[in-house]
Amino acid sequence: MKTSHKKYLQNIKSDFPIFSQNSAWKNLVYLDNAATSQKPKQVINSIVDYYSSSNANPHRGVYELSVKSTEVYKSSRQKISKFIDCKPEELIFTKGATDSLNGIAFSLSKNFFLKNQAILITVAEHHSVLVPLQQLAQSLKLKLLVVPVNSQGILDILEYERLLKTNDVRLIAFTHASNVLGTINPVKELVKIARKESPSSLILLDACQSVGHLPVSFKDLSVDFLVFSGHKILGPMGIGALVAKKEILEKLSPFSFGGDMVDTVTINKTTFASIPRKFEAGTPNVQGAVGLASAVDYLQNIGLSNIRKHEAKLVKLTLAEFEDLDFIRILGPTKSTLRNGLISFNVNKVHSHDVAWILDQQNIAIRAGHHCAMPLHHSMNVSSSARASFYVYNDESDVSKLVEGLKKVNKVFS
Amino acid sequence: MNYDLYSQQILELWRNPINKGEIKNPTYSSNSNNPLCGDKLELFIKTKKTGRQTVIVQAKFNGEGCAISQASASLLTTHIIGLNISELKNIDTNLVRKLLGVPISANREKCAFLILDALERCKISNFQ
Repeated sequence: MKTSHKKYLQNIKSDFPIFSQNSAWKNLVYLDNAATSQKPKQVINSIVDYYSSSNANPHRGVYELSVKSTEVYKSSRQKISKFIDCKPEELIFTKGATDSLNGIAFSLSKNFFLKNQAILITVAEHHSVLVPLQQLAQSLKLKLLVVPVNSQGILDILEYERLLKTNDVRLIAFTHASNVLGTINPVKELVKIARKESPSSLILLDACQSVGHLPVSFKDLSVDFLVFSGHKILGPMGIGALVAKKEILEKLSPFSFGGDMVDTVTINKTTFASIPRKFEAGTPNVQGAVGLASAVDYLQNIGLSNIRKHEAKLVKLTLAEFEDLDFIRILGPTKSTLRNGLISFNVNKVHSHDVAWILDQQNIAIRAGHHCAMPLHHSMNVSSSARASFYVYNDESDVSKLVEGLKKVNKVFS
Repeated sequence: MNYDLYSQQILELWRNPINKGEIKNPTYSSNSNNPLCGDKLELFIKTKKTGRQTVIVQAKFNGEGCAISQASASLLTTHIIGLNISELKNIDTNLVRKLLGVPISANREKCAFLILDALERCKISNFQ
């Protein structure tokens, strides 16, 4: 059992040029996957292939090469929409989750909210969710309600329910899995409560730390919006998605204007194209879509359930190892089944930057800082934290190296 | 493996910082923060005029941060005590690097130069 598992991981790592024998980073223990993942050769090659054999501006040309580029772009959308379980026209390509979220905030700033209505978020939101919605609330003079988490980093569902009951909430936004606490939120339960207590609300799910790590179905979760970034799930940087229900997208105003998103244009008036093109102004990021589609293929070949199991196993092992280190304080749930594939922690008295730096000297890359979640850190009375996040190419030996590295950190700063 | 960055000097200053604390009624004071990690540093400076010279007689810093930001704050405050304020124009990132005595990568510059940013924010005349 152990051998086959090891073999499976070795095979995976050999797909990643950054870990290859002739790479300067071949021995790197890369544990910053929640920030961005490394890229397999299949994804890199798909981008090279696109530029080598299919590159032209899609949609516009009548010549064969442009048609080919259009087809490649279209088939990428089909593949990715199937992966996320939505209709192809429900998937809008964006630069990434931040771009998707800013787009939603811009579009909802028009004719959606009434005076004194509210936006409800959680304290665990990434700045990419919090800041656009905070700015939206301020510009429209809406209330911004915040659901807290308990000392174990678990969302206070009773407070969530109470806030929905006692306010005129119109937009609800929460993360599927926290990029700091690792907590996986019970999305279906939260949606059920929202539909009962606040039926006119739209629900937005930040799926940046769940898509590509566990099976995620847009249809099954039944949220109104879902956003994610491609670069965190083996795809290239600069591509991500905004997924939304067809009937919502059809009513929603575009958030970006220009070529390719129009139907007819006169000097005084523009009618917009149908979805999804209505939301994709300008020359699209075809190479990004192609790369992301290739990443989706790669992930599906491994199987999302297998990825989930693999990450859960590494997290469980890390939590068990950390229990023996009395200088480590973890953030978030102690039960691995409540977590995704990351663990944030602090080393007694040592600043997270110092932890990351000493680990770097040992060829271990982790994240340090507030991970774009300052309010969450404040709510836990810590200024920053260190974070180790796993993905498909990590294994048990990475956990051992992390643990040994942290013992050194503690020794250096004792 | 090299632990150059965490030289004995830096670790010693992490354990026993110099000039850490506050000055009551400072001549100059400022706040600086590192948006990457949320670290905050306060700087207090007291000057004294003797004849045509204005000399820094006391400099203290307060706040939490990593070993690098804490060490550079200890070292720079120590360095400026006794300087005439006209001499502050010679203080720059190169000097802070020299005081720290270890290589500072691009990603740690914010930490190392936080105290320098605080000094600039004091807006002491003759210091640009």
